[in-house]
Amino acid sequence: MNILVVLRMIPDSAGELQLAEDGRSIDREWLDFQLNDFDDHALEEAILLKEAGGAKVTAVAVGEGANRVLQMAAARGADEVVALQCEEDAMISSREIAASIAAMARAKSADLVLCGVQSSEDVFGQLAPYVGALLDWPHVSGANRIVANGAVLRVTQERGAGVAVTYELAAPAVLGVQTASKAPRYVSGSKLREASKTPIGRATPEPSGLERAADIITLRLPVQGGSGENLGGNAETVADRLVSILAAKGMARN
Amino acid sequence: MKLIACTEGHSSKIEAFSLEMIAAARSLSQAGDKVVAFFAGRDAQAASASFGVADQLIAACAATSDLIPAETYARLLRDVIAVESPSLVLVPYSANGLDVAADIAARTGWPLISYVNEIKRDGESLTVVAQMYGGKILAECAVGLPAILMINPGAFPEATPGPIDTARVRMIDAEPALTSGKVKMVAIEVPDYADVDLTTAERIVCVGRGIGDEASIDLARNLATMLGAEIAGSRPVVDNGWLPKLRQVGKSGQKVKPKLYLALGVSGAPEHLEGMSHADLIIAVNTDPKAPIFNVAHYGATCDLFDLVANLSDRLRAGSGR
Amino acid sequence: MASTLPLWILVITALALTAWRSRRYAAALANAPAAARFNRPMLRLQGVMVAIGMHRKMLRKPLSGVLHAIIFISFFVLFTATIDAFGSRLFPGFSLAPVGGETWIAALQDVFSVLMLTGVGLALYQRYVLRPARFDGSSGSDAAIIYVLIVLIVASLLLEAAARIAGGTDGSWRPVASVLAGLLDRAGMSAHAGEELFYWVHVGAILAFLVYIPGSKHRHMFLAAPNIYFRNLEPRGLVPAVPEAREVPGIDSLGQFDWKQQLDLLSCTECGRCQAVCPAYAAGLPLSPKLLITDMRDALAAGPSAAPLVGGVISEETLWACTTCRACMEVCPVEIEHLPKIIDMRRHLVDEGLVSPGLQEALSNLTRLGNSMGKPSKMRSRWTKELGFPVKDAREQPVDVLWFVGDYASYDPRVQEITRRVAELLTAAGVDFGILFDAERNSGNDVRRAGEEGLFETLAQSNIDEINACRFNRIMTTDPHSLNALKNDYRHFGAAFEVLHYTALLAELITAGKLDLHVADGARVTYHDPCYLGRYNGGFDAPRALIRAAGYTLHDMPRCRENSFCCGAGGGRIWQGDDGVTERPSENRIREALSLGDVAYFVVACPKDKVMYTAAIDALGVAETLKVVDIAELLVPRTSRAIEMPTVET
Ligand SMILES: Cc1cc2nc3c(=O)[nH]c(=O)nc-3n(C[C@H](O)[C@H](O)[C@H](O)COP(=O)(O)OP(=O)(O)OC[C@H]3O[C@@H](n4cnc5c(N)ncnc54)[C@H](O)[C@@H]3O)c2cc1C
Ligand code: SF4
Ligand code: SF4
Repeated sequence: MNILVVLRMIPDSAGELQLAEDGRSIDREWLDFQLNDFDDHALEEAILLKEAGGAKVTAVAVGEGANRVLQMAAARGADEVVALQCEEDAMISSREIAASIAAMARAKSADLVLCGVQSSEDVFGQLAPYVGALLDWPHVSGANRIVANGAVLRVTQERGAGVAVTYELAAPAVLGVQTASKAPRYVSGSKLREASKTPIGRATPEPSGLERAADIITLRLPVQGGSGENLGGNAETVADRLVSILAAKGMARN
Repeated sequence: MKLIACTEGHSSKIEAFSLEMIAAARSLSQAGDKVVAFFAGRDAQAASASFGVADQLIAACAATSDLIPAETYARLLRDVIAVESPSLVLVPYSANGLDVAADIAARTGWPLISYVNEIKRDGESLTVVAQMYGGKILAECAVGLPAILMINPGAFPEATPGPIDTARVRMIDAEPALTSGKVKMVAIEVPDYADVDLTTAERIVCVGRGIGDEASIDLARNLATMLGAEIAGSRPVVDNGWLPKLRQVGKSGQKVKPKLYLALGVSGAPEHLEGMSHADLIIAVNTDPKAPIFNVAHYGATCDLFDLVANLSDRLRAGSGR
Repeated sequence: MASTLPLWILVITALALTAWRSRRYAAALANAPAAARFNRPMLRLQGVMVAIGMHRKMLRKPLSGVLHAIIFISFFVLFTATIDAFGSRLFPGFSLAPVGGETWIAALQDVFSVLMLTGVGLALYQRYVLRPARFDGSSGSDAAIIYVLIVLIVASLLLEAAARIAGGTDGSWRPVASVLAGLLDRAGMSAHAGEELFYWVHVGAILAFLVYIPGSKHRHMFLAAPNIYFRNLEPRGLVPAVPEAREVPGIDSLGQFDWKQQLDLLSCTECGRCQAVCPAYAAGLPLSPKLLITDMRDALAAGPSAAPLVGGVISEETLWACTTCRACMEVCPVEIEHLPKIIDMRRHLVDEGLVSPGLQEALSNLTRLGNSMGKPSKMRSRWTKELGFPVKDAREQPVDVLWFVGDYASYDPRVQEITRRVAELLTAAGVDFGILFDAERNSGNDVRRAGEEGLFETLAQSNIDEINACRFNRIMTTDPHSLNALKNDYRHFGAAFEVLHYTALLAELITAGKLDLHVADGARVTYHDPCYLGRYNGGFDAPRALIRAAGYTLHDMPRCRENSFCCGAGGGRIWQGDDGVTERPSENRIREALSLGDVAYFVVACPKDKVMYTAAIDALGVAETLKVVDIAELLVPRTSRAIEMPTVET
């Protein structure tokens, strides 16, 4: 089985986000980038599938710091690693890159494309369904367990309120991973050093084929940023306020 | 223009956010517009009993399956779109919605905006506010129609449930689509709440040492039950044996990310914050205005936690009795 | 003599059996990887003299120390009797008589036989009546067999002499045997038969002892001295590097340990001193440093077996329980090195990716951002914002003191205030100092001790490069853990910095009259010696001098200085959960301080201690009676307004 796993680099979730001067993007210059957590799980699931039944895993990374993450992927067991070129200093829109991923899936004769179910920059839509639709392959998002039996896949999906649904589908397919069957493994510093010699392939992007979804007019920070609103010390008024705050979010009941 | 509100359900239930989708569509519709609720599931009973606010209900049902997989759902929806040619399709941000929205967008080429909190309509164009970076940033976007929007549950109030008369219901037999589907459902598991998993809990009420003693935990537990929340504790509370270790939040406990985190008498030491500061909505109650929990709280109150629990419980009880 | 041949046969058989019983160990040692332990012979010898000749560590426990010294000296004296017993019959004509074998030597043997029995009596009393907990898990039957053999040897020695006296030999040099001779007489035993009987019992017991030893903890009779001789002479705070010859960083079979590490296993006396001081053991975790050693020893004795070393003989939980506090190595009378073994096995686990989620998160954060908290590097110097003055960037201007601040001191809100206080004290004393701002990385001290050698190298190299690019005279650290890494571990990269702890620098400034302090009214406080400042780097006195200089009276806890009890945070423990802990070491320690009864402050000199003990005091709910304060908080320059110290009731 050939597995293609997509690794997207996104702004560090611990970092403070600041708006760029045009107000339409975030200032990426001072940001640390990290692997999208869900993609990390997708990579782990790919390696677990390889360990369980044999597979060739190709990891493709997009964004700043892609090389570092690809070395990590190689240390974890990816057989081939490719960096997909992208526009510098721009957010990674899954809608934009879907065509490139689909093309690569064909080029690598992938049977399975794995990626994280979401990323923090996918406002214009999620990668797995885009790629699935472009290839006309079945896709399932929110996977938290994948078992391959030949070309037949059993995928368990996490739905709200703890409901879990298991599906069966045949490869080729695209899966959006929520959590890997096992937590992503740790790679030691010495393994990373070894893997730093792995050759990294390059791929140039395909034109997206889809129109731009929309224009971002402005970005803003939510009002209740870090430190929040003080509701005061009177239990009665606090309770009144809380009831209305909760009700507005549909949470004033069970 | 036509607006399609996508709704969901499994077994004989409809998901609560379905009513929010219909309400959102309704709030955008103007005179002459038509709100169509699209439903796919085992049967249309619950849907036709509740979706009265919609102008039409199109229900694709298959009696043989408790749940319609997203792949089949999307194909059925595509057929509906082809017939109805709507200007706007609202999809809930749910496990199903995640597969449906972009699939339709790719196949129709329409724009899609996800994680939408607010929508403003200006004739034939929309301005929407969507969450990015886990809610740290809000993006205001201009979208031309037709378009697909994926809506955050909780962003719109629920429509009042009521029956829709049969004349306005169109039934589709989903059986053929289900049989030819490439994704088959083989099992559905509904959780057993015996062992808690705080990491997936959507609402948490956490008590700290301010709760004072074991007996008082019950007060907080009752409040949690009313809120549909799990009860959790800080390390000292668990150390004292007032709550089991599985319910400890923090560095050496569980790392949680619920939609609601109500902290009662928790000071907010860094080891505690490490486990919960990413919660969507943090409400802290602590008599000490300098307690560091207020640095991460979205709302803070400095009243006595016992007074608050009593007052809040009263109001919630009164509310549910309506 | 007719008994010569049977005795020869007996001796040769016994020697052969002994050799046979030692074969596994001998082979293991012969095949083990090399260890460089042959340098500085005089220093090594001197250590053996102090350790064995003066029983230095043994005497820290008075009863065991004294009884062991009695048995030990008696053993040497009675060895003359053994020489006599075997010599006289193996080589007919041999006798010690010409050098005093019948006179003063005989008298010594007589007296020391009684002393030896007294020593054994005390040992029995200790082991079976007092039963110290440190013997839990030690082999009771092994000890019992040895006591029986010793008693047999000594009693038969006395009785044999008594029988000879009863047969007419002069007994004036053997007062005890003479008394026994009278008893034998009364019992009506034939003198000659008695002499023969007791002789063979004596010889038989000695040979049995010899044959028994290879399988017993009493190997230490032969191995303690070499094990101490070949002890580690490197600085205590330097973790042995991964040997070049090893292909993977870690160890997962006994045979990969070098010969000294294996010799350690064979030398253990099962005294349990290490177990008694181990914070992990006290916390109820599945780690006893003694059992760690004896379990591996037993596996070595059993030969190649199916059970893997890591995860089999030694469980993962055992390995992760260690705080690397070094208390065990400090007390071990035979200089066994527990920590290098634990770290080598952890290196294996880390290389296999077998780490707990908490540790994984910390290590991933360290890989990504250079700190364990997952905070952006830009925020590392944020604490300086609230100072009333700018802090020099040592990367841009030369400084006298380069301050290596450390993760907790930089990022933890509870410690930041202390960090600012240190900055104010330095400024008040006119010290020209600077920091590395966002170029500083975690020192890697605990990363290395958690077994993550590769990441340690990355962190260390990055710090060394940054430091080398600065112009400065000395380095000061807030964190004792960073102190240790910079001072000791960084030697692996050829870095030789002069590094000192802030307590040392402040003490120096006070002595030099550069820091004039408000003097408190002598309130009583206690002080916790951080492992990596005290035990590892000998920093015992400067903190105490500071406490005195600030006008406080120090009331030390029973476990202080070298015997300080770890807070439980070291070696990566702070990043792991505390599942299985029955009593947190930090809480155990706070109880110790509370039991002093008269101290208001629990004074610390390590950022992690501030965090650990503040939480412990929260957990015990004793914030009203005891406050955790850093030494820097006690020091108030006269130039500034006297600050109000938190009040507590005592
Ligand atoms: C390595 C390590 C790991 C740790 N792991 C965890 C962990 O996983 N989880 C965790 O929680 N802690 C953890 N801690 C402990 C942490 O440092 C704190 O000690 C702990 O979180 C404090 O718990 P608390 O807030 O309940 O108690 P406190 O700090 O004692 O706070 C009680 C609060 O209640 C308020 N209060 C009192 N009475 C009332 C009232 N009537 N109404 C309103 N407010 C009131 C007080 O003002 C106070 O702020 C860890 C510590 C260490 C060192
Ligand atoms: S270093 Fe400390 S924690 Fe580790 S085994 Fe030795 S005494 Fe125990
Ligand atoms: S390792 Fe040392 S201290 Fe521990 S039991 Fe053995 S001899 Fe005693």
